[in-house]
Amino acid sequence: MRWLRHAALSEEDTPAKGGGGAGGLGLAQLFVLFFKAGCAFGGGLGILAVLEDELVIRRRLISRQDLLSLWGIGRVVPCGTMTAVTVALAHRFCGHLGVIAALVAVILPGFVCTVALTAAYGLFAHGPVLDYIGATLLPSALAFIVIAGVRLGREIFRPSLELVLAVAAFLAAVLFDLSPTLLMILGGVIGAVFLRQPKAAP
Amino acid sequence: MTLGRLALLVLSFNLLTFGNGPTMIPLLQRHLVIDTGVLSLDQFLYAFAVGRVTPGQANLYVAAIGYMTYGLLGAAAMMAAIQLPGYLMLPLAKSYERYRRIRAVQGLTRGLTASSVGVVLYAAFAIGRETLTSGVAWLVFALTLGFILGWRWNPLAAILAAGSIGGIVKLGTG
Repeated sequence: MRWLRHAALSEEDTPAKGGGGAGGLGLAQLFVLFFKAGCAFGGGLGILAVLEDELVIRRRLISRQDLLSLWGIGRVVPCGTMTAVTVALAHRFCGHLGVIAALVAVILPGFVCTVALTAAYGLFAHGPVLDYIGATLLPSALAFIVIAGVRLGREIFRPSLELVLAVAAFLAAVLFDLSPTLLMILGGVIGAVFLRQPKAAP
Repeated sequence: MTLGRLALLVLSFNLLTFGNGPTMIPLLQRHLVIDTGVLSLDQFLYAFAVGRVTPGQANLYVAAIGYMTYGLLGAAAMMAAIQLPGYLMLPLAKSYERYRRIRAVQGLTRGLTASSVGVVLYAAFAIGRETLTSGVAWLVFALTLGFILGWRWNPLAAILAAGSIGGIVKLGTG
């Protein structure tokens, strides 16, 4: 990844010579590292914090600038940001086999917990228990969705075309029952036309 | 809905997220709960709640959806569906500088994010009309919001505390 080598590194972020860089992590170490990251709570930012601690601070295999650059690119890849960052880091250290190992490792802890809790729901969520879940757990889940929406829109809740788009999408869904998929695609197209950044001065 | 179709649905919705996991919520709710009835609203919300209180990526709730519909195979297929697009990172990282400068791409992601805020909040509004049907439900909802937004608790602590208080009130009021 040539662009990574051009990234501006501060002195304290520069990876250690000798042990750092591509090839500084074996497949087993890579698996353990991403498994540990997958055990972090807090979603993608929790995982990023573990990766920063392990790769930047403890092992000094990449610079903080590199990691944040990857995170920035991951934001514009059409998938989960941490999935994209995992692919890039694992490929850098161990190639395609590393990508598979890291992807499995990073989801394994959450996957096992999710399946166990879902199996428990299937076994126990009947009659009074289901009633209890409906009154206590599900309103919390709804609160999580509201929080997700608010956090997603944190940067657009100001007078802007983006705010108009968000309100228009909400109203179109409420008043005309339009498909969310259609609304999002429309939003993307409108954004591509009207929300472009101004051209940089020569 | 076949497993292949479900995986394809999640894969295509995942492509619209651009790093914003919650974007999939209204899309999945519309297709799986309202249009096809593959899941009940309770199941859908439970799956989402599980995704918030387990470690790792927040979008692991699709594994719960896969498990509810096709067991362990379904859960594994959903994981593959949300991880495969990650490979796009490799060519994109190589051509990052060129890609970053395409102004239409910048506008596209901004537009997608803006419209997804509207549809996520709409999904919350629509789900709330069916879920917040009792005083206890409103209490748990408000407590969870307060614990996370006001006191910055983690989701697991918030859901346990709010659920416990709601449960006690529910038992007390019969």
